[in-house]
Amino acid sequence: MAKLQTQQLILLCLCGGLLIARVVVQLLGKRLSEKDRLNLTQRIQSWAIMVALLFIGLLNPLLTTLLFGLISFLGLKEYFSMISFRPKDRLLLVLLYLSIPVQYYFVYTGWYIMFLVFVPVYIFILLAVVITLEQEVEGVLKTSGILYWGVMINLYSVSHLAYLLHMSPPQLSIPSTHLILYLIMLTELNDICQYLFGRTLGHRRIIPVVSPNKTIAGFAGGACSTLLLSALLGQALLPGVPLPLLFLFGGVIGVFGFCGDIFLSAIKRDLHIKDTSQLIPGHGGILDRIDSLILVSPLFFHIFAFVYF
Amino acid sequence: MLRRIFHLLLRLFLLLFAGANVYGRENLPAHGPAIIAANHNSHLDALLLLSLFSGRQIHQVRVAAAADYFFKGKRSSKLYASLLGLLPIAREGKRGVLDGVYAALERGEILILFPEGTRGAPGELSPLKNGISRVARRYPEVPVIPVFLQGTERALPKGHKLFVPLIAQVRILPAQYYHESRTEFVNRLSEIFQEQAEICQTN
Repeated sequence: MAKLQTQQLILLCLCGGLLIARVVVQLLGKRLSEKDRLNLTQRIQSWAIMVALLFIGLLNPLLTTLLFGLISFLGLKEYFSMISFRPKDRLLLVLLYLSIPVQYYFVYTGWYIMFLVFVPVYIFILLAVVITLEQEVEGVLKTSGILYWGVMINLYSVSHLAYLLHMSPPQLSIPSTHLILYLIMLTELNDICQYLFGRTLGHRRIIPVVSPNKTIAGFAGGACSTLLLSALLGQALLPGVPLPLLFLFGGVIGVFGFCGDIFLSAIKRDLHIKDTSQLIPGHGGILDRIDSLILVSPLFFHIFAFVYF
Repeated sequence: MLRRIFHLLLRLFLLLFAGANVYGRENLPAHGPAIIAANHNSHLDALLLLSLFSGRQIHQVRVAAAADYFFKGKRSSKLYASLLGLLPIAREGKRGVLDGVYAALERGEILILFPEGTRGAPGELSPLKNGISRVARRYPEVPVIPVFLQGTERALPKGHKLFVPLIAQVRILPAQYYHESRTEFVNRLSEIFQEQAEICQTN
């Protein structure tokens, strides 16, 4: 079947890429410091695990739902662990954790209205009511905002990725897993390209207060590469989608992938944190890994919905 | 062995529903005899500390636990001892209170102790009891590795039943050895914990 071929081909390419990376690190052996070599080896190994988990997750809709549900849960756990909350908020935290399986139930069953409004209406109301009933006034406004934001970032945004399962345009015959794969791959490639351009050509800092390592050249080079890659990858994964739309996706991912990244950087600076957790060796935490997807997921989703539905 | 299987399950459970950001893992002893001296704010503390060890090491790791709290029933006592490696310490006793500890060290085991003696108020350090210095004086060549835990009191505070999945900070510090005086040793440990508490505060 055409679907299996493209996806498997991409998996093969990714495995090939990872193997090449492994070999390169081995060959560079002596020219890298011990610390750099360890870090790179860990990064590559973690990439391999993440790629494997993603492709296993894309095998069937239940697995996809469970995978993104897990990502939301681990992300929210990292988030709650970073922020400060009051002792009385503990019950509210558990209730917010429990909203995850509810939202993903709506994702799995394809209940569009509930998927769209559960967080902004019902969790919003739940949070407001429960936090008031706690009768702990000191810090109530700040905590409401911080907790709601956490649910938006980790649950609402991430669940849009999973709901793409139901967003395959009826006019075209694209498997919905391709949508998810396209979005994730393009976002990660954008990250990588921005990093590479930054390392090689970067001079002028683009947003020094938030992220001193990001440069204008990095951002520009990466965004342009993403435009190119969005067209190329689009031909393979999204046949039938017109080129201008693919370029739009590329532009959106280039800009808002960057924005999501620096947004999390700003949050980490505020909290005096370097990594969101140690979950992913060589990378940091789940939030560190999905930060570029936070703004891009709902945006990509709704552009698609606007054009095709 | 049953303990190894349970240990694997424990680590998986904690990875999913708790979590630890570990600093100073290189200070963790590879084998006994050794003492892990940690601050205590939650029942989660011992579980997290146990999870730091691998399946191969776990058979030699024990946790000193209050006999009056954990070893009340015969069946639960057996379970605690065999699955978690809990070692009963009679908190009220006069003579031979630390005999279990001494025996464990002589067997070459790694012993997890909580010098505060009990779970303190969330986020607070209680004054350290003398037991740790008595043990260190008797076995001055056994390394005492201080470990500072922060965040477990948010996941499962003393007196609460509701467990909230949260990631804790685990700071493992270089080994300390007994010098000449028991007071000096206890004060040294106290200072180390205080210092770590301040570091965690500013973050």
